[in-house]
Amino acid sequence: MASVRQLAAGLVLALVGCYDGLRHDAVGDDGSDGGSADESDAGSDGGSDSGGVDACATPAPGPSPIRRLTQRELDNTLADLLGPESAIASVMLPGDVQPRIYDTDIASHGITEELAYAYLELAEGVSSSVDVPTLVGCSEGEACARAFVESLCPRAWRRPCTAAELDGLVAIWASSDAFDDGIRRVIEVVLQSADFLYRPEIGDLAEASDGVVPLSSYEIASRLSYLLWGSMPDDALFAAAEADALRDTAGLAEQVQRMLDDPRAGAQIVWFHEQWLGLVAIESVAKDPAQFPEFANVRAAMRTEAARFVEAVALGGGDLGDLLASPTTYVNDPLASFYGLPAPGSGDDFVEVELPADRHAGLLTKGAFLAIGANQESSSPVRRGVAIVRQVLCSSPPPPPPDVMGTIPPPSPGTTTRARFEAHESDPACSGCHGLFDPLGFAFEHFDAGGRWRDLDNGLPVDASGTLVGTDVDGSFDGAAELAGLLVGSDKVGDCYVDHLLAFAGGRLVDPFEDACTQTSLRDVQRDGASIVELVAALAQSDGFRFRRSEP
Amino acid sequence: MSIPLLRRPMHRRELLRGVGSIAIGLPLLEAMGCDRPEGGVSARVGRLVDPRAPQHALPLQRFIATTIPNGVVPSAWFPTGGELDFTTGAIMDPLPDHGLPGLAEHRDDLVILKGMWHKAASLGPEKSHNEGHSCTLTGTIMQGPPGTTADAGWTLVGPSLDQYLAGKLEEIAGAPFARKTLPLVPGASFNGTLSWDATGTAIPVISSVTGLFDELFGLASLSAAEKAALRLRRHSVLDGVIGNYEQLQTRLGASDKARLEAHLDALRAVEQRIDTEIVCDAPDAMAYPEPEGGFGGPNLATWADAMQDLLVLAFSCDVTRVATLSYRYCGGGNSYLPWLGFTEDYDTGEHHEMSHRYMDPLWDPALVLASQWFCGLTAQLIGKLKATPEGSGTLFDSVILFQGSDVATGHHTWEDMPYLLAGSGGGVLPTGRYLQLPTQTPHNALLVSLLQAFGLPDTSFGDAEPNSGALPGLLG
Repeated sequence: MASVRQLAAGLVLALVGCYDGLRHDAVGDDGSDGGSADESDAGSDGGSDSGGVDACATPAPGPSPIRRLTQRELDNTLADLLGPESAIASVMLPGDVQPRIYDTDIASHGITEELAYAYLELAEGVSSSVDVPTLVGCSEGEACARAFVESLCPRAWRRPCTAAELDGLVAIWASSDAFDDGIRRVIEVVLQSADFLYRPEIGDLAEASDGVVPLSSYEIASRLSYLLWGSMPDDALFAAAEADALRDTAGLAEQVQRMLDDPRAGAQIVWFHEQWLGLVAIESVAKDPAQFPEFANVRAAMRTEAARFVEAVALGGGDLGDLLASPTTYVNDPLASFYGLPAPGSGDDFVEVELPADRHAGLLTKGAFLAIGANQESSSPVRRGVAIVRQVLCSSPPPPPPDVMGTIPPPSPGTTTRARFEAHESDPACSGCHGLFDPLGFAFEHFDAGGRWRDLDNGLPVDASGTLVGTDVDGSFDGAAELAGLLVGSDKVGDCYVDHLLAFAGGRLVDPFEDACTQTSLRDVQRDGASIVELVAALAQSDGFRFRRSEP
Repeated sequence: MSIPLLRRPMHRRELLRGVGSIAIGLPLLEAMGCDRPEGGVSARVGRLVDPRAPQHALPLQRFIATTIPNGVVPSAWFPTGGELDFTTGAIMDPLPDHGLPGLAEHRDDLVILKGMWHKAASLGPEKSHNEGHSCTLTGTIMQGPPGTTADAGWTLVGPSLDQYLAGKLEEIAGAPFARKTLPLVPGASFNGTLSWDATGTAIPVISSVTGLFDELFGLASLSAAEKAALRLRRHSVLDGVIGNYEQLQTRLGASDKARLEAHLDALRAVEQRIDTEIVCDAPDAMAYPEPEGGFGGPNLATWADAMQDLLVLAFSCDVTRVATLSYRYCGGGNSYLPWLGFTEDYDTGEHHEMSHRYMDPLWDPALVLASQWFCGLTAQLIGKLKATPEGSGTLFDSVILFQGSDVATGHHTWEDMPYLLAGSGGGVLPTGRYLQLPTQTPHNALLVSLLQAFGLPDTSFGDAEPNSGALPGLLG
């Protein structure tokens, strides 16, 4: 577990320099470009490459290393297990090591003595905050304590507890002279246990075949609940697990559908997308107060705007195309006023509004994305363009060389942002890479540093035209809506989205070899026009999700 | 720019107080007055003997590593003159307008090094601030595909020197300190911490003033009997927890088992740690409020002042012997220093962005001022250590402070790193020197010498490739 941080190697489709177009390149052992297959070639096969079908005829899951609950998962779980006042992990624990993109990334889940001590303090904090008589329902005697242990253990450990385990916890209770303190000790042991903090998976070893084992219904229940809700299973899911109903596809489908209809699924889908495009950062973005005096008052609303939009698209049956192209958005009065839109008269409540479809296109024209992709005083075509290249196209531009900064002149009257950044084009040291992503950033030049529409930049007409290259949908565009129109038709974009979803769900790199079957099957689902919810459901029912590879 | 997830300290403090009222949940503390180490005099160096291991008659020694971000303008950093008759550069001048002393004030307690090469960073995948900062104390090369940024999945090889040294000091003392180290950083970001364990996992940083206060003084109100009861209770709970890990391990495959083993190792260390006690007078908590605007944000000076005070208190009470302290992220994106008269615009006022304009006469004065301000914080810390009595001298007598940087200059150069040491470490390090070493002396040699200064026999540290033994001529 030596990884510092990072995520989906499958996401890292390194550019070979910036001159050879985009190449699909797993970050290999030696990290070299390796001359792997051109992304667009892989795409044209529609994922049905020769060998792929046969190799995937039987379940071929990728590795599934044991995972520890994220702080968010921990708080959700504590709230479901012991009540909302117990959700204090984000307060008590030190900050997570910043994951590359997704908090589920196990590479950022190393353990240290300091963190183990923080878990001890967390368990003590939780146990001291519960009201024992209310929680336990009785107040004295071993029978009462045992009944509590029998109720808590299987829910906290998300599986039936053995008689020995229950006896052990009752003995913990008995180690204290006081009934309440004994109960608190039990809670502290349970909450620090590996069965609670981690998600151990063993599978049904009796049914192992070529090293692949089906997960138990209880293990599938946990996978479902943490994928779809970011929390522990509820009673209905536990009941399905107890009936062993999650190993047949009908029973699984029934639970997936039920869970996706739960409000927690919406919050989870939003959380994935917020991390995908880094939108959480909007909460701490600052803008030049002279130009944007109201910005600090609306930046939280910008996060809500994007979240409402994602939730509405996803739960309304929309697909990735809607996410990237829909002109619908959600504003309250202050945010509408900031954008220069008519105030809907709803006060602080968000209402749905339709924006001009030739200007606005989905998530990429939301204030949150645009304001993050900008400096305090001026828009940043580089930041916006790089975000598209990395997060939407899954390409990884190399870092700028250390000694060629300062090419871009600072803002000055009578110059557009675009004109300033076009200095990159005239400098051959810059143009190789910037020539790819600056034009994508120029598409958003009708949006200022705060995310507001503008016709003029510094008094001069905005030029938002450009050309998309190196993809399967290359072409010219004028403005963000036209660029989004191109991206919507791209298999590369759809494949990238699938890889992101797999990285979020799997908590690790998507490995183009080991995860090939899961990746291919989901890419096919995406290319067949699946809605976001259908794609998530397909993931939850995929072989890669229901099976694991056993290891010695 | 990633946003670190941070503790919300005010809530945490309230919670801890609530827990303390029912006598569980807080670090063990003694409210019996400050019990500073009072050893005899070491025959070896004529300084205080380490009271934790008097049988070894070792000098009492402490280590601090700190950094200034984004390199320096070398002409304003390096002294003029020879090894002993040198004159410090402009970056070491005081900044009275900002209430900060200069490193020049401590000239006779410094060893300024020239010729040091951050070779490990120069061999890294991106050759960026990330590697320069993170590998400052590891002396290892960041593992990752060449020419990629960190999102390609870099792997850091630990441990860092502070963690290694702290472990060795505990071995020598035969018991853990109340805190192994204090890693003080305003955020949990990659570019923040210097401290990594042997598996390359970042040590959780302490970012909050009130959080550090709680670490040190959170349970000052418990009686000795209450503390003894709490200790027994925690052992009982940890026994049950450890049993669960051991049980589960038997059912898992090799790599999952190894992950749980790492957690078990951590739990066993906690078992030892909870038997230690912090022996300090609790100062007035109200004197250590959380600076407004986020840790290390617009009130960075306030944050630094409070963290330095608490660090000195922790040393004084022998809570730990090792600390790391960083003030700002190095590298891209979000370091503004408006109190120096810089703008808060990325293009014209962001520290890292400005550092890339190094050698432009328009920008160099601003870069010098920024470095001077950060060095002023180090000078201020040295002053606090010197103002704290210990034995017949001061706390500073025991300290070796290392101040590094992520890069030598804003152009990501690695030769002639702006490194300095301060303090004699109990008399083992001759100071008041400007040590000009051959160019391209790998900085691993400095790490080795630091370990030797603490009496350890190590002859290498970090990766083998950039290693070249100890630094000639550093120790007396």
